[in-house]
Amino acid sequence: MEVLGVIIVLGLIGYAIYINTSNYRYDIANNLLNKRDFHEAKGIFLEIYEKHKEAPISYAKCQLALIKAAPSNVRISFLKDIAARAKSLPRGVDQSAYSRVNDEAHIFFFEKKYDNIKASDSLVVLKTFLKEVENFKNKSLNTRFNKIKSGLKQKIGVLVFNQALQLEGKMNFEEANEKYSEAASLFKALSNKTSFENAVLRGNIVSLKLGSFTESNQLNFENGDSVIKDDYYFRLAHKYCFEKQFTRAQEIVENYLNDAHPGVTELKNYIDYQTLEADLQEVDVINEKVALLLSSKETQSNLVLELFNRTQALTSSTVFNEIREATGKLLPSLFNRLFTLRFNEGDFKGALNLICSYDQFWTKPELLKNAGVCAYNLFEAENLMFSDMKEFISIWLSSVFNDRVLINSLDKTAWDDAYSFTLIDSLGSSSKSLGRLPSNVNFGEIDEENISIGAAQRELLNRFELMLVAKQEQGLIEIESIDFYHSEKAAIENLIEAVDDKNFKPAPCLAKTHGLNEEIVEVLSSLYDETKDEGLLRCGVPYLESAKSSKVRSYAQALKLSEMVIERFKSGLSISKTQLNSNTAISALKTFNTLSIHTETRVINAFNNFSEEVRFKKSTRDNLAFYIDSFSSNSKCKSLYAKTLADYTVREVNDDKMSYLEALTLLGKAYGYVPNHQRLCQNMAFLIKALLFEYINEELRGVKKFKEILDSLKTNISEELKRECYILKEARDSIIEQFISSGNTQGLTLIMTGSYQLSASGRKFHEAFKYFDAFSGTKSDLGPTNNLFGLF
Amino acid sequence: MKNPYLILGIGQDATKSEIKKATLLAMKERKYSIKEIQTAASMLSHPSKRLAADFLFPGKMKSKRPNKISIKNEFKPMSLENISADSLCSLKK
Repeated sequence: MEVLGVIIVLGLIGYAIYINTSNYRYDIANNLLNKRDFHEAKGIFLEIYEKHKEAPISYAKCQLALIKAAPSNVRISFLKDIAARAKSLPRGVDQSAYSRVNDEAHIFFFEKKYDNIKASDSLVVLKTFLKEVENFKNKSLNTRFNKIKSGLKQKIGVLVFNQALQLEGKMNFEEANEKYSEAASLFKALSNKTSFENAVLRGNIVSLKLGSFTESNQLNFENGDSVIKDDYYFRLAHKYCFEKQFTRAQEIVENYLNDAHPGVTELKNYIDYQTLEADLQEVDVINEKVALLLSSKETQSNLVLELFNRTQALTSSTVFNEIREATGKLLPSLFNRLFTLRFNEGDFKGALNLICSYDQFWTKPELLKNAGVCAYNLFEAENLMFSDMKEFISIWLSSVFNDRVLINSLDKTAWDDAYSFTLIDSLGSSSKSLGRLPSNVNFGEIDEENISIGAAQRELLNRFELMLVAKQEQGLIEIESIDFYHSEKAAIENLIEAVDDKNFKPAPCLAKTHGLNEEIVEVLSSLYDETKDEGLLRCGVPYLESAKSSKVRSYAQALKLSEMVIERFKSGLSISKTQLNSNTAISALKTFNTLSIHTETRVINAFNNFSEEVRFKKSTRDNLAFYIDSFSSNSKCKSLYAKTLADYTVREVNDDKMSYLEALTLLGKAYGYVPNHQRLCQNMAFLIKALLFEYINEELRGVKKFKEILDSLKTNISEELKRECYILKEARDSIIEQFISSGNTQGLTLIMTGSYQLSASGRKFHEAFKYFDAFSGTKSDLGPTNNLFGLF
Repeated sequence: MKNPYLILGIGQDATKSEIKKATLLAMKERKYSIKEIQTAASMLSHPSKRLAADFLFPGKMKSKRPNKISIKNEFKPMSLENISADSLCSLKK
């Protein structure tokens, strides 16, 4: 009874202690908080503020709830309390949990404040608010805080922009410009493109009004309001007119303004009038110079040059068709005079440059011819750099290979009355591509009266080639120039042969210099698609450079790889995937059948040109094996590889430089390529037989390897090897005969049955017999042994 | 290779007989070596080679004798002062 009393007393004391603990108090306050009795709950949380680590957070939650419920003028006091307590939280309190409540309280406060912003609020009020938001370092709720900041910046930007408008209206341009600039910065930060461009546009307008507009100011606007853009561009065009920059003014009017507006039409007419005035002034100058030129007896080169340049410049710059036509008519005559002047002075480079400055000079046969003549004379007269030579060689070839150039030049010959000229063997394109021909040009047979144009073309090429060789012999040019000439010549010949159309066929260097190669490569690619003639792609390779055709590019890669393989093969350098460094090219080469076959033929020729010593070298054999393993066209190479190994192993075995097993190992690789190669199989059968005898006689080294080879061959035996393995059957029969003739039939039986009684030597006989049978196609119960079984 | 017409001192329209005469004359005058004269004569006597020789004379583009250009400005004379820069003003008053 006493014990029970003690327990009750202790229980009561314990309970008294418990109800006074902070945990108990916290639970009560939390219940009150859940019941939304924030004031009561707050009081208890405050009591245990220092004692319970959750109390400060829950206290702040009560304050937050009270902020939400309180009228706007009271909210600030709760907020300040939460913020102040955040700075001195008791130890052990979860700071981030408290921050979340603090952030929530602040964003709620800011959002309410933002919602209550009035249109009449001053810029100062908004800026102060923005500062307040920016100064609060929130740790959560970034999206909501950023939304408030952006909204405030936008409102501030609009206010600043409106202030600037007012200042601009009061002609206070400098201050207005500053305000537009401030607004533009705010809108730029907000990525508000329309408001940003409007602010910049207005700033530019103010700069134009102030006369402080600079060329660095932005010119293109895509997002600004069209009314502001029109205002800006009109003022800009007006400014250019004032500065007499009529070309620029015209660009602005044409590109940015709509001439439906009367003001724009007026400005446009003014620009036209002024431009025409300026062009006509230039026409007057040209007229004066023309008069001077016509009156002088001697041709004045400076005058012709100036006149040509002025006329050419005006022709390309004027917007008035009448002027362009009139000056355009003047140009050929001036061009001829200037060209003749330069040519006669021996300034062939200057004359050629003049031709090259003519837009698409290659479309005019007389210009292409003159370009060729200049190139010829440059070669004859001067010592040229290789880089210059390339262009001149290309121009010369493009000129001579062009039939139309030759046909046109016939007009200039006065001695040809009795002759006609035939294109039957000309170097250029066929009849289809030339169009209408002069009456004295035909495609008839060559005779004394019907002169070959082709012969004249070849004569010209011959002359040029003789000149090149002579210069090279004199040490004036390098051999690479002659090589370049021949590569360009081959390329243009191939192009003319491959493509029969009206298009100009230039040599590669000229084509690439003037961007004519793209179309050539395209044409060749589509012809290839129709015909699958790889020659067409090969023809496109010299013209490739930056042209897009993936087919010609792929062929070029394959061709390069093919050359690299042949080159390395010939020079005995090792060929491997790493050295070739192009899996793409290897697969490309596989797709071009003709090139693949051609490559294989060249590899074989290169191989056959080697001496026996080089052919038998391991590196040469390995290169051939790599070629077989990597390239699809390889059947001839495989046979060559097999024959070579057969020859090599016979020589080495006969000279005792190679064991039978080494020989069989080598032949095994070739067998993998050509399992039905007769000589290979014959040699292998001989080696297998010899090695089996070595095995029986316990003379064989490398038994394991030997068995591996035989086991592998056994499962993959070719018809040819089976046929050649008749010698194994003979050998087997001969061994059996020996056993029988020596009277050891019992031993033979044990061997044939593989009896457990067999000695180690007998076991070898047994295993050898199994191989004999496997390769010769015999079975243990057939042949002479059959009789043996009858004996026992 | 020198210009065969220059060596023989004849024009591009020379006939066969003129070439023969010029060759003999050039041989007499000896301004050029006999080999050069022979090569020039052979070239101009052979139509294909003569065509090649003619090719190396520069040609001319078709052109007319240059004349003065006569064009009038038919636009009415205008002054920029009469066009206000504020014509498209976007600033609301």
